[in-house]
Amino acid sequence: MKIAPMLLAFALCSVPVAAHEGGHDARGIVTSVGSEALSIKTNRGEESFLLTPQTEFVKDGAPATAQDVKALDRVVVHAKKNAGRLEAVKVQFKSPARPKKQ
Amino acid sequence: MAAAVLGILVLGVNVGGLALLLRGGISARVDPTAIEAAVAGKLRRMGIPGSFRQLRSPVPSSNEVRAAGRAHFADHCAICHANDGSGRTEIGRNLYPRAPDLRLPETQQLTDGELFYIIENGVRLTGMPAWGDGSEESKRASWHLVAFIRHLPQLTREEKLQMERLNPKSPEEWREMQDDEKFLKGNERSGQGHEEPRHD
Repeated sequence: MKIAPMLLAFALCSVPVAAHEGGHDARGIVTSVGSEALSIKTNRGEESFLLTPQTEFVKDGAPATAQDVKALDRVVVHAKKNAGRLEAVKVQFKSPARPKKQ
Repeated sequence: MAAAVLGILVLGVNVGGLALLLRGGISARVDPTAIEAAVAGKLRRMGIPGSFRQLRSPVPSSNEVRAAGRAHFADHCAICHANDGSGRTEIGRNLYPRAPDLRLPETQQLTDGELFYIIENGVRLTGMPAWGDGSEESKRASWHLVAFIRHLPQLTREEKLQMERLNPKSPEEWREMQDDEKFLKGNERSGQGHEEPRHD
């Protein structure tokens, strides 16, 4: 008699959950940046990310734009995979360090 | 007579169950039909006592009140509703029904009292839990949230960034955040990164 509820519970618990969205984060130095793509050099090699109107740019913790990103900037890119390509969700960077006065 | 009523009930349950199975069983993947959403919306509104519907917030909206609501929302609500209230989070867009976009008229046109009631008491058969414990502190926090929800359509990017710092994080996420910060400051030479399931 107890088998039926157990089977029902098992059936309910074994329903597959939604797949997690694949994420990819990278830290690196900007090698090139345009309106549609950002390339950085990481210790894995060169990585490229698509920039979209939804890509968020954050400089020194404040909102920024793609135009603020320059070659040789250190950036952290939070991306997601979309149709086999990496799409930048958020690009964080800092103002370049000023040379110290002698 | 009783047998006839019972027969109709059994038939109704069977037909309903069959319809449910044909639509994908108990899966939460399918979108609610327009009729289902409309009926659920009406029922939700009808389910809120009239005394609450008429309530107006006793807490006047101010920068401080909205800031308190914003911090509370980032910590407790954003995991489903997203910091901007869009509901575009992994949990929010896979709930059944989906987490609503709080910036849209469907939510913004609810009265202060209706929003307060939903926060305090939750909504049955949805992912919305009852947050209230009946205390004055809880009520005050819920009114702060009502003020913040009203502000959501005008949320700025600066406010969203502040909220991101307040969102709950796992120890692993904290570590990653600190490593990101170190790298950006130039204290870490190698450009590392990581690949993992994203929970945004």
